[in-house]
Amino acid sequence: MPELTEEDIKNMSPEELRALQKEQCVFCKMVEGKIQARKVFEDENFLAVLDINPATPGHILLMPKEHISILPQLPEPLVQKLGVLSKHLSQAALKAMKAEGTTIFVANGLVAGQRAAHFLLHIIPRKEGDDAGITLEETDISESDAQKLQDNLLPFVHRVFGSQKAPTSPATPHSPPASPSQSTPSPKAEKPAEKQKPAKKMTNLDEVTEFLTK
Amino acid sequence: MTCEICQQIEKKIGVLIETKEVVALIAPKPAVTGHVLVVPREHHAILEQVPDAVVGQMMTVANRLSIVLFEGLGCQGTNMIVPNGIPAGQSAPHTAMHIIPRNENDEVNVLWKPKQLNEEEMSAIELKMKEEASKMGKKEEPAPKKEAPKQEVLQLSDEENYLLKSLKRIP
Repeated sequence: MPELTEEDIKNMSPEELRALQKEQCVFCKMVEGKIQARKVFEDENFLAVLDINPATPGHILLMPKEHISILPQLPEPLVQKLGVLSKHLSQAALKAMKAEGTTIFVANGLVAGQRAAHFLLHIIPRKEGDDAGITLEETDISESDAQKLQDNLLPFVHRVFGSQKAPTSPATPHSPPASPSQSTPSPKAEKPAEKQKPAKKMTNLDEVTEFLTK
Repeated sequence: MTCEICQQIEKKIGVLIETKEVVALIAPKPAVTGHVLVVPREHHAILEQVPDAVVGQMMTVANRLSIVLFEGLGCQGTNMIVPNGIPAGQSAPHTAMHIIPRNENDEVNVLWKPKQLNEEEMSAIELKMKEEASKMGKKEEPAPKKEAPKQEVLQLSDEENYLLKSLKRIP
């Protein structure tokens, strides 16, 4: 394959870019069976393998078969399924490893510790005294700072979730505290993966995935 | 025993969004500013106790909150972490998905030191894990093709009871 210049990459359509990423992606090759992996679970949308450099024995990588870089790019029905699968695999890991807990871990973006261009969800079996780390520090937040943060985030919450709440549970009519007027979330909120491509709104997400094309 | 998260839900302190089953909150003990939580409304100690449909919804809400943090705080990345059980660093007896905004040179350190196991060890683990994973799918998800969330009765295994017991020790 000829060397691609930065200019070439810049001129690529999103489809071409994705095809290129896929071609170079180790995890896509695992999905296709071109690279051997210790597969522990597979269905039509997801594959789970053992991490060859585990944080602890039994460390599982759960990935969508489709090449995406960060979770916001995954279609929402699959996000939901990812949640359910991570619970089930966490249960499996608890039993298989006789573990006393698990850490479920996702990194979206380089600065969050993402190392692969293919989105991965980590399930790490935990035992007392293991040296895996991944401990979240706990600091205090003043009431006024918490209030400020809440005020800051709420407009974005309303935009991303639509004016009404209840994103996914079809069988649960729900009356929210405010404006119970309409029940359809905005189309934007329905498909976060699609809205970022055409519009320039999601610049941050573009930046997050930018390193993957380098 | 009163649960702080349950109280926060009840008093509507720092609530960002709520559905019938899931609530998103400003984290009461944040790792960094902007740290938020997605919790089941109903009190469950660990993720394994939460019904599938609710776990699915938690992930969906958590993912959208990730987008909220990207847009609202302009962060460069996010972590989503569920510490499940005391050895995983779970500090409250109410299971939570943590969403943490990340920026270059921030103070958060959640990375681990990778280990290397030999082939034999890996093969043994693979075998056990495959076995458990295959059982799991059948028991808990009889109709994997259906998109609709399943209603199910939760049954706790011995391992989970162990987890619960240890969580009850959390003050």
